[in-house]
Amino acid sequence: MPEAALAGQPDELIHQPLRLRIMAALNSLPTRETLEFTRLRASVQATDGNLGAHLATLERAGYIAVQKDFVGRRPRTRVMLTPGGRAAFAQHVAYLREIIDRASATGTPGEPGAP
Amino acid sequence: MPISSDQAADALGEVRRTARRTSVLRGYSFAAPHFWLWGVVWLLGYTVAWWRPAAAGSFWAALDLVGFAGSALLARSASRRAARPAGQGMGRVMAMAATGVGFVVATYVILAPHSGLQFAAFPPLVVAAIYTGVGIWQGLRWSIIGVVLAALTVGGYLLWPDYFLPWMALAGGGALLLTGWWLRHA
Repeated sequence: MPEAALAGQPDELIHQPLRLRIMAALNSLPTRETLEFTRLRASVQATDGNLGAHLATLERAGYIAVQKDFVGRRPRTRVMLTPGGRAAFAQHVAYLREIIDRASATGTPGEPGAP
Repeated sequence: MPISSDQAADALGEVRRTARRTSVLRGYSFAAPHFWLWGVVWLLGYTVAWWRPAAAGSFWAALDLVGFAGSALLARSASRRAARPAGQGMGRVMAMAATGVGFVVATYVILAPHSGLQFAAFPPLVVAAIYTGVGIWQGLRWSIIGVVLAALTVGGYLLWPDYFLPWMALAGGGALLLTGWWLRHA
């Protein structure tokens, strides 16, 4: 009997390891709460340049919003998840869970393409 | 993009670890100004208790009120910045304060201290125990400051009983101030 297709779809933009960590960090905050760049960097354990590049990718996709301002003379960058980003992350996580649940139910070892 | 079940499990594990790390760092950031506030409270309270023992009780009571009011304001300010209902953070701070004060008072009623030194050394030990316990769930740094505070308190009590109050002002208050800086930069 052929297996039924998975209901969800992977989000390739989110699945990249650092972007997944960025989304996980921001998703763990209450809705509308922002995270400062330096604290996000510590949370996801990334370098400045690498984090900045992936934030730009996520911002272009509309998954995050980046706010830049000054505190006194110091520039400050704050990042938050958009409603669309939160929904996309939830969908991707649901998809990952579905893969694991399917593998547990059928007892098949994890192999790319045959979850 | 095919994803195996092992890769999916790894990804979900990374999601959980990152969320946990973010929560811990967020807690440190929230707590830092409270440590600065209470570092100053300890510095002033123990200094005045040593300098003017007769006024120590009323001065400490007034300082504690200022400290708790300050903590409530800090919690409200943090809630506003995070666009959360202000009552939630303030309520937790007040509940923690009531728990600590209630426990110390109840213990004094049942096990009355035999000396002023015991009276002064017990509250910081309770605070140290709370921090150590919080650290078991909320991040290692809480436990570290709890153990350090306990060691400073017991050390000062046993080694320099005559100078316990100035010791707690400088070492205890100083440790809280440094902890605020340490948590802020976590």
